[in-house]
Amino acid sequence: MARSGCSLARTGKAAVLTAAFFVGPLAAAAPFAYITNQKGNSISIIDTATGSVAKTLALKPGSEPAGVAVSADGSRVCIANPTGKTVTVIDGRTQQIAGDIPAGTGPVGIAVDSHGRFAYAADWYEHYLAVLDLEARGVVARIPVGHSPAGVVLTRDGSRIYVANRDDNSVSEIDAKTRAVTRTVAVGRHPFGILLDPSERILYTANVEGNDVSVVNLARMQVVRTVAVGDRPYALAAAAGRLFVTVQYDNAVTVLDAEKLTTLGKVAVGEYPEGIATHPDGKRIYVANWFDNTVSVIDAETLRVVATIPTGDGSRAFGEFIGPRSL
Amino acid sequence: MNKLTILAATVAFTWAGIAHAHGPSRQKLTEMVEINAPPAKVWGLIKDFANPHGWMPMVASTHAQGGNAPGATRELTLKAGGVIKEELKSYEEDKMTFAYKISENPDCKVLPVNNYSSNIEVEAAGSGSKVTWNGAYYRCFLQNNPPPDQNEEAANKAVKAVYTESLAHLKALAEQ
Repeated sequence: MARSGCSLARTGKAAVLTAAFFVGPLAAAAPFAYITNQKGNSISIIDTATGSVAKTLALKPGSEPAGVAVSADGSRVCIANPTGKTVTVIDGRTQQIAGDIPAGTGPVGIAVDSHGRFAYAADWYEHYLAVLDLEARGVVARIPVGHSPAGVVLTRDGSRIYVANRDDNSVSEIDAKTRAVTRTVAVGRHPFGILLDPSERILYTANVEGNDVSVVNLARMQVVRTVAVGDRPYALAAAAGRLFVTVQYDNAVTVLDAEKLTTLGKVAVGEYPEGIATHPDGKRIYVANWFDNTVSVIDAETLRVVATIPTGDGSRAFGEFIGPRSL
Repeated sequence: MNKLTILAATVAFTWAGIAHAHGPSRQKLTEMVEINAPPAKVWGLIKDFANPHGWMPMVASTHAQGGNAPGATRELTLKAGGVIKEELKSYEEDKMTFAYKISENPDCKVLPVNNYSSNIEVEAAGSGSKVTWNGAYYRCFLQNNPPPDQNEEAANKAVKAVYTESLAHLKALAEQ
């Protein structure tokens, strides 16, 4: 794991030692949640063990961060800044900003592979998926996709990428090796956040204009179910055999039985809930409330809000924003 | 040596400049007013979803359907011209609050916003009341490089004007 670790120097071991020398002990092992604050132009790093913000990173003025992705090994955190037109890379071990990579005209959704080597950022205006080499620190490929691509997810092995094409009402599947679209499926109106189920056989899309969730069978690349969830769904997470969908205009998270797709309830959270992610313990769901500048923590079993954590202005956290249990 | 490595790597990292043109990002606005009148009296002035012309000075008349039940609709005809169509999202009499949205994006000349949603609440504050009005919306121009009358500043200015003028008028009405 340390092999692909600290990104600042090419020689892994020396870099880790150097980083330790400069910033003191490595970050604690508790999973951290990286919350993008779009209006506050900052990242709130929540220590999920203490339930409070451990550190706030200020971004360059005018960045307005929205998307976020943490590599499965925790080594790198990528932030998509649609207004700054950059991707900010944070070293997951030191929790310091490593730098910005220019990334097209409006990166929104972002995903990163498990080792933090390549990141994939959807470009809202020029309709492609940018492939960012996080070692070389630049865009190495642009894969044309549908109009106004938003949410991006990656399979665990990094071989396939899925992108929600919001204005085309579709999802593109991309082969990460050939960097080409292999299949496309029509879904509901204006898909934004997308989620792979743990088996990676099913993909869910939150359809902002359709007010529903499309359930896509990936073997057939076909929508097999459409489920109404409320007014302006935004993004999804899964835990405890349940699906959790943020619904912006309802100020709530709609909870579905993942198998039967029946509605189990609605959890009232803050205003304008947006990004949503599952804690690695599989028991808690974190929701960023854009208007309220808070994060709600939901118990996935009892469906109760167990904590509300103040963050920064315009918390969006669009993507997989919680890191692994330990680095 | 290690210090140099770090320094070199940091400098090598390209820092992008701040570009002028940028895409839309959602705006939010909160306006508050304290009123020297009991909350029930203030709420009484705004609680009827069909009656915005009763306290919003820029509204000439309202055509409404559905009362105060979620899903109710209203069309506000403005004194300056133009119509805004809205839908009631939620209504909580006991908490003296309701939430609504603009159901059809208005003409940019009428109100330069897109995907507007809002809520308003009356609370007790000291011996009087406090009214809080929240709005969330995008600018009217949804592509890159907006004209000046359709950018974020124009959207914020227009919504702020509606909120401050209406709340000032509400205060005057309630304190009569």
